[in-house]
Amino acid sequence: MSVEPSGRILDKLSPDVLVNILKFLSPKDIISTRQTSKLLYTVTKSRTVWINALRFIMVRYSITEAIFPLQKMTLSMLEHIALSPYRFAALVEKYHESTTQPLTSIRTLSTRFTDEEKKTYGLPTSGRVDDFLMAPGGRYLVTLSYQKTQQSTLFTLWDLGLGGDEAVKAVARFLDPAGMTGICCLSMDPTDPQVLYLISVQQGPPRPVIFAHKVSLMGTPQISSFRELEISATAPYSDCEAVVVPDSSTLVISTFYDGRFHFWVWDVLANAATILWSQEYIVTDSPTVRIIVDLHQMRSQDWLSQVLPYNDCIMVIIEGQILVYNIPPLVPLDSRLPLPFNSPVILTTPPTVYFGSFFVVEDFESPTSSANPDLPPYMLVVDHDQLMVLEIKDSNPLRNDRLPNKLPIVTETVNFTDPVTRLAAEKTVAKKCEDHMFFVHYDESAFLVFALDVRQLYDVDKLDKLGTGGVRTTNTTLEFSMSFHGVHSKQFSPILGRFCVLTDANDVHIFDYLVAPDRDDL
Amino acid sequence: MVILITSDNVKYVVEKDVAELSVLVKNMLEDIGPSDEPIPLHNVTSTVFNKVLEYCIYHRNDPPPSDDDEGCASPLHKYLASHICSEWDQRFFDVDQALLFDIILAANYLDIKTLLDDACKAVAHLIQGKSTEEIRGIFNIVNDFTPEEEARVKKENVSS
Repeated sequence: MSVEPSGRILDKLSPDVLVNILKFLSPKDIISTRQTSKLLYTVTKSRTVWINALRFIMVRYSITEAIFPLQKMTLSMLEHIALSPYRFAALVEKYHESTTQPLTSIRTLSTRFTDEEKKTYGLPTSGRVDDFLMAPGGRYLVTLSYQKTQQSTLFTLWDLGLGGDEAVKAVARFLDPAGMTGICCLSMDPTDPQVLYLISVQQGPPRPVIFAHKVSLMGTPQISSFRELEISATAPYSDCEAVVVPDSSTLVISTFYDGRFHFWVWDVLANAATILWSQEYIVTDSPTVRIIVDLHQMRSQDWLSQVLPYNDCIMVIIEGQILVYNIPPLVPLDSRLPLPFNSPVILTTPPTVYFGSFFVVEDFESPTSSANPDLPPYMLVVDHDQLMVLEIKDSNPLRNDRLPNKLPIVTETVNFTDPVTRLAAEKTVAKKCEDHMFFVHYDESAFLVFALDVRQLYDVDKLDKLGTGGVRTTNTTLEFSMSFHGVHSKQFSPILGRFCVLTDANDVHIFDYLVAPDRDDL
Repeated sequence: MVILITSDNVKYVVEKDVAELSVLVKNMLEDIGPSDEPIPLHNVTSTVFNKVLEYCIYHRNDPPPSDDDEGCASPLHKYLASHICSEWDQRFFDVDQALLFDIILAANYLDIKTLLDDACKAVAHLIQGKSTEEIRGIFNIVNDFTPEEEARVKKENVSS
């Protein structure tokens, strides 16, 4: 065995090998490594390191290379974006219990049409924005305008850029003859990094229809019709909401009909589907009515979700219970076979969950940890003034149809004792990004942002010592530096540190709270 | 069968499919053609080669790593598959640091991509979640920044 002073060990490895080691580390670990010595500083200044690091973020948040073009980006931009979730958390920490303002100029979308566009689409003088949605990664925004006179819907794709200082451009428009649709979500195409699917819903009559439009980002972006799915087992005007099964072209569309919740699972690319349904609920029972109300308000744009597709199962919270469905084989829609109705494999009743909850999966702590038995996947359920940590156990090694593939087990419940945090958790929408869960609450003139470092929750021994009030959150107020009346809806992306609001006055403003590096520094 | 000789003159008789996991050995075999000539491995000692061989024998039937982007596996699935360490691998790499680094050097020299990647994962695992000071401690890294440089490096990475 070679007996060398271990201090020389890292020096023996070639830069290529060091880069290969860094490939398996998160952006934050790369930064910790960079600060150890001059050698590692130099090695971590290579483009390859940051292309790998940003890809690490992108695959986990369904961001494709059409959104962040890895090969074309400067080193400083790669680093900036890979680190932005951490920088956003650092920003909240830095301005803990104080305020800060957008760090770049505030941008406003121009909703006016050019003369040519007016002719092409037969549009009135200026466009209203009725709904909007930010694509994963925070670079692209889709807006929707109803054209009341024609009973049609105009979609516009906007490129907000990466740095927060570019002019916002409308890069594609599409006039959908279906009137009065709403935007549900944007999903990726696992087979083509240049394609996104824009999912919209038309409430009917006669029946709600889910539309999948293909957004091609190759060259000049284009939006075109792709597929549609009629939600037949429901009433007209039923509210439908869709969530994307991460890392796939599959959607879960929820609706309530005839006393039951129905969840349509639709693979847009394969054009195959199946239906999951819940047990019957008595609608007159007030708590259940409350859920339906919640479901109606469960706008996908607020990322508030009671439906969590995870791996080979779908978990749903309804009335204090977690329903676990194994995803069954999907039936090709063109086969004209009737779609089967699948019941949950198991219902679990955790101690205190009730309504208005949402889930966040703690997917993969770090790239290599999935094989580490100490770090199982976790799920967080926020419920008014408490936060529950559930471990998602793989419970069906033999793949028995009658056993659930995954079983959520409560490992810890944390009460938010601090009244401010409690308010935030109750009234906000949350998004988990890397180590932090961000709660964003809109106030009249600012966003209140709370950040919770979720790693605290997994250290059960430490939590016991601290007591449930010992979980630390940071909060800050992000000011708009401008005033307007009322906000119709809002979007935010911790990646890029970007917020968008649609005001009641029908303006769309973009606020960037992270500074992009100087582009000319290479 | 292929005969390999390590730098400390230990002779190994290895089955061809196992030996050919090393691109270096495979190329050498192709160059010399059918022959009983032993192949010298100049940069690998027997201590390290024992580990390399153990790995190659265990992984001899693994499907070759493919670089093509086709196929039905999703990006995340492929990404995770390439980043996960099996339980066997975790036990295998549970060795002292000097040996772990020697395995990396040997894998690099012998050109065994999967072993190199798996050993790099094992090193990455030691770094994960650690502070700069802890990483220095683990690898005995000497901080060669001047105080001014160190302050600058820290600053450039925390600014929002």
